[in-house]
Amino acid sequence: MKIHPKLLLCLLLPLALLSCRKSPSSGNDGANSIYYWRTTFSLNDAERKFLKQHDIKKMYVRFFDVDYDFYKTNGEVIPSATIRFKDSVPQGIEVVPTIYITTKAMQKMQTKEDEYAAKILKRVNAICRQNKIEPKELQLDCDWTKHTREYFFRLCESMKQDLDSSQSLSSTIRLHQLTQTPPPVDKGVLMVYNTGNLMEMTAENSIFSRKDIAPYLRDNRLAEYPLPLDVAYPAYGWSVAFRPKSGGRYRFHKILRRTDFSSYPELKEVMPNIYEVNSTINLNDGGEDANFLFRDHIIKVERPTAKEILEVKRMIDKKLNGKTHNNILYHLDEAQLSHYSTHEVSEIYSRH
Amino acid sequence: MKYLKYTLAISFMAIAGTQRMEACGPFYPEKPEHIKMFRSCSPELESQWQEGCRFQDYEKEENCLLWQKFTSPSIPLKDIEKVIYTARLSDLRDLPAGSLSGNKFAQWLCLPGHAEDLEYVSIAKEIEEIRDHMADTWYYGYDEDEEHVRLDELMRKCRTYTGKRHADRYALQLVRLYFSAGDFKSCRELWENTISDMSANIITDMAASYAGGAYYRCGNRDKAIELYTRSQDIGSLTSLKAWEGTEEKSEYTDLRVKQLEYTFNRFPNSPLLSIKLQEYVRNRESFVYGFEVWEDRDFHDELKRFARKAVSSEKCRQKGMWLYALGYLYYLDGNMSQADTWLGKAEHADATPFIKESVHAFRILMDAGHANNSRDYRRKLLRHLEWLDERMKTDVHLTPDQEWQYDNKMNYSVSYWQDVARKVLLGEVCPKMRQSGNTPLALQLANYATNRIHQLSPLYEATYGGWNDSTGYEYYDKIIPFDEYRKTWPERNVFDFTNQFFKEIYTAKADDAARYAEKIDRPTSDLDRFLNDRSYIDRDYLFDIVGTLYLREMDYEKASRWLSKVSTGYQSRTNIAKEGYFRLDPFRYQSDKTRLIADSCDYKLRFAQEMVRLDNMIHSDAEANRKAEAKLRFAIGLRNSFGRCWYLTEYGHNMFLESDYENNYWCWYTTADREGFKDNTFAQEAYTRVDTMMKEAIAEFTDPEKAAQAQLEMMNHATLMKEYPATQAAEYIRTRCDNYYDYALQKR
Repeated sequence: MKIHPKLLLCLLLPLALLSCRKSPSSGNDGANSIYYWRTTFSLNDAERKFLKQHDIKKMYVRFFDVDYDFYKTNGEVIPSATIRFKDSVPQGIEVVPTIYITTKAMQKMQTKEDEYAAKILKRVNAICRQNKIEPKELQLDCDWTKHTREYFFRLCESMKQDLDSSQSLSSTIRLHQLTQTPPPVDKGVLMVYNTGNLMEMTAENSIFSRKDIAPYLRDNRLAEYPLPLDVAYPAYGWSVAFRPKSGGRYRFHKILRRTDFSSYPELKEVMPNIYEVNSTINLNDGGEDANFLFRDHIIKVERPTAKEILEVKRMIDKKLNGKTHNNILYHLDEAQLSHYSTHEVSEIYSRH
Repeated sequence: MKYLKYTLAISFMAIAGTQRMEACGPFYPEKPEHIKMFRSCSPELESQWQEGCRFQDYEKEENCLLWQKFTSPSIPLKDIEKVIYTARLSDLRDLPAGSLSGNKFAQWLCLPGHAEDLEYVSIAKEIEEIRDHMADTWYYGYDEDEEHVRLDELMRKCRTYTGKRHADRYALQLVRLYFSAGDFKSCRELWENTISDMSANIITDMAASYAGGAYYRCGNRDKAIELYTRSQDIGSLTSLKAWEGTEEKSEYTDLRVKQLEYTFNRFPNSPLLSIKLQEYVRNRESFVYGFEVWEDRDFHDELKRFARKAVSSEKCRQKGMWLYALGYLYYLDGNMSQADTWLGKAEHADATPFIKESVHAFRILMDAGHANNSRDYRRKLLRHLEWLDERMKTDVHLTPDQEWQYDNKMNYSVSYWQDVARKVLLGEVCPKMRQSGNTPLALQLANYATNRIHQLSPLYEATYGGWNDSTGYEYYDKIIPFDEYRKTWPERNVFDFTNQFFKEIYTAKADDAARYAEKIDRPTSDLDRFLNDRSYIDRDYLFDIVGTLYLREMDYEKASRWLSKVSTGYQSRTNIAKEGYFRLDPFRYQSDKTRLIADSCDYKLRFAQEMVRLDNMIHSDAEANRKAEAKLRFAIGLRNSFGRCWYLTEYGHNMFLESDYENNYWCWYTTADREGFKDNTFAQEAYTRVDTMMKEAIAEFTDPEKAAQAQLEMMNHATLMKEYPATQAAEYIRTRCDNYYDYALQKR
C-alpha cells in the first residue's frame, strides 16, 4: 500500500511534536506530590479531599527515622518514631517510603553502610508488606555535610544495589548541598524550606525566606546540577517563642505548633506576626502538658505566604532553565494547608 | 576565632575534668585512690540480673551437665556449651564440616542414631535465633512474615513430638513460646498435664519458672512462689516479695540483710548474693570516698555479721567471696589489721576463679599501702604488674565509639583492671614513690596506668567541632588509630596534655622528669623495661615536656639540651601551636600582634639558646653597655616566659571559661599579666629576678643614650625625660607627646 506523503506528514507530525515534550524518563513523571511527615498515618475528610482536588499521585511518607544517641539509643544506630498506619493509602496514590537519617546516626554508620542499607531496606519492605504498599521509589533524607558525605554516599550506593531493578532511589537535597557532588541516587528533591536560622529572632523567617534562598542558587547551579531534581516547597507554619536576655536581646525558647493567638488577651501583637506576652499564659490550657510562656516572652509567627512561595518558585523555575521537574508540598496536614487557598496550591503545583 | 573558642572550650572541659560539673550523678572520683574496686560479680552477671532477673550461667552449667549425662562423660562440657550456647544454626547445618568440626559434642550429634538429638538442638537453636531477631529494634513484624510463619511451624513440631528422650526439652520450648505469646492458659495446661509429671531436672525447673509466671498472671501467687522457688527464680521471687512474713524470725534489723538471709537460706550459692554483696560493699565505698553523704553504718555492721555467718555455713561454697567482702569492709573502715586477717583467709578459701582474681587485686592494693622504694617492694611490684597486665590484656573489650576514652582521663570507671591499675598505682604507689624520692618510678607507673589501655585498645574517637562556611557550626566524630590522632589529627589532642600522667610529670621537678626520660633509652631493671614496653614513650612528647619544665625552672642550659632532641616538626603537634600561639617575639618588651615573628620553628629551643647566650654575655662581657643590654633582654625574655609568651613554660595558661548564660555562649578569658600568675611560684621567683635585673641593667648603662633607649622601650617616659633629657630618645618623646607623664602601658 502506498501512503501519500501528505498523509504521512499528518501522521508523523503529531508524533514528532509529542516527542519534543520533555522526557519524563528522568524520574519527573509529572505527578503532583506531597510529603506526609506524621508518626500516625490517618487522613481526615479534608485531607482526602485535598489529595483528590489536587490530583496527588505520589506521597512521600516518612516511615521512620534512623537515630543515634549515646544515652537514648544505648549507643546503637536504631530506627525510631516508626509510622503507624491507621488508614490505608487512597487508591491511585504511589507511596514513596522516606527515611530520615540524623547526621549523628550517619556518622556512626561509617564502615557499616552496607549492613545498615540492608537493615533499612528490610524494614521498609516489612512496613510496605504489612500495609500493602508496593514502592517504586525509596527516599533517603539526611542533612549530610562534607564530613558525612562519604558515608551517606556509600549508604546510597549500597541501597541502590539492594533495590529491585524496577525501583529507584531518591534523596533530599538541601540548599547547602547544591555546591557539592550529588549523591549516587536516581533523583533529588530540592528542599526549599527550613532555610533560615531558627534560633535567631532577627532572622526574617526561618521556614522560608527569599533572602536566605537566593544566594544558594547562584552560578547556574540548579540548571547544571547533575541529578534530575524535583522541588519541595513548604506549606506549613509554626511559631517560635523567644525569652528575653540582657541588652534587649532575645534567646530561642521553643517552637509552638499554634500560630493563631487571637484568643489570648495576654498577648499583644506588637508588630505583624510578633506577639509580646504581658502575663503568664498556658498555651495548652486543658491539655495534658502545660505549655507556659511568661511576661516579656516574644512569639514570632512564621508561615510563608503563597505570594512568597510563588515568587521563589518563579525564581527557581527560571534557574532550572527548562529542566523538567515536579513540585512537591511539605506537608499534608489539614491545619497547615487550610492557610492556603485551592488556587494558591494549584499555582504552586503548576508546571508552566 | 569561633573555631578557636570552641576548641578551647572543649579543652577546658577536659582540663577541668577533676572538677565535676554535672548537677547530678553519676559521680566519679576526683582522686584515683577513690576509685571503687570491690568486685564480686561480673558486669555480665549484673546485667543479666538487671535485664532479666535470671542467671544464665547456672542454667547453662546444669544444662550442659545434663547433656553430658545424656551423651558421654568423655565429651568436654566446653564442647557442649559451644554447640548449645555459642554455635549458630548455620554451624549445625555445616556439620560434620565447618567451625564445629573438631567439637566432640558436634561429632556425637552427627553419629548414626543421634538424628533425634541433632534435630532437637537445631529446632531449639532456630527458635532462639528467630526470637532474638524479633527482639531486635530493626525488626518490623508483619502478618505472615517469614519469622512468624517459621515459628508456627517450629511450634507445631514441638507440639507433635512423640518421643520420650527430649519430651521435657520440647515442652520447655513450647512453654516459652506460649508465654512469650501471652498464652498463659496453654502454659498452665502444659504444666499441669505434662511437665509436672516429668522428672525434675534443670529443664523442667526452667519450665517451672514460665509456668509460675503464668499462674501469677492468673492470680495464683502461692503456686507462683512454689514454682519460682523450684526453679530458683529469685528475680521473680523478689518481685513477688516472697520473703514477706519470714522477716520477723530474722536476727537482723536491716531489710536488705534480711533479704540476703532469705536468699541465702534457700539458695546459699545463688549468683544474686554476689550481685547484692557488690552493690552493698560499693555503697560503703561510695560513702568512704565521699560520694554519699549518708553513712549506713548499722547496715554495714549487720552485713559484716551476716558475712561471718555465711562463712560458717556448711552449705556455702563461696566462702572466699564472703571473706573477701569482710576484709574489704574492714579496709574501708580503715582497720587494716582486720582487713589483712580476713584477706589472708579469703586467699585460702574456696572461691570461683573470678573471686580469686578480685582477692588477688585486693592483695595488690593492700601491699601498695606499704609501697616503698626498696628493692624487695619493686620486685614484688613487678610481679603484681605482670599479673595485672595479663588481666588487662584479656579483659579489654573497649570500642572506640563508646566515649570511654574521655572517661579514662577522668577516673571514670571504664574497665575493671584499668581501675585497679589506677587506684593502686596513681592512688597509692606513685605518691609513696615520690615521697621516698623515686619520682622517676612514680612517673613510669603513672604513664603505665594512664596509657597502657590505649596500647591495648588503640583506636580513638576523635572529635571535631568547628565552624563550616556552608553549614555553620559542625560537629563530627572520626574513629582513627590512636597514633594517628596523636601525630596528625589537626584538632586539639584532648588526651595527652590533660591526663593523669601529664599531671604527674607536670608537677614534678625538671631533674626528676629528665631522670625518667633517660630511663626510656637506658632502662636499668626489668621493671623499667616492663614499663617502657607498656607506656607511651614518644620521645618528642616526653623530651618537650622535660625541656619545658627546665624553662619553667629557668635552667636554660638543660632546657636547650633536652629541647634540641625534639624533632622540628613536633611543635606543630602541640595544642598550643594548633591554637595559633608561638608567634610573639619573646624578647620584645611590648607585645605587638602586628609584628609576629616570621619563623616560629623550634620556638622553645631558640628561646632557650638565646637565654643561654645572653646569660653567658651577662657573666663574661666586659663592656658595660653590652652587658646591660644583655641583662635587659634576658629579663624581658624571662618576664615574657611567665607572661604573654606563657607557652614557653606551660602547656595551657589560665584556661578558664565563663559561661555567659544570657548570651548563650562561653566566654574565653586569659590573663597574661602578673596577676594571672599569682599562684605560680616559678613565676613569682622569676618576677623578683626580672625586677632586680632590670634595675641593675638600667644602673649599669654607662652610655646615657642607650639607657634612654632602654627606658623608651619600656615606656618609662617620665623617667626618661627626667634622667636623660639631653638624649635623642628624649627628643623623640618631646616631638610626639604633650605631656611627659609615664603612660605605663603594659608595665608589669
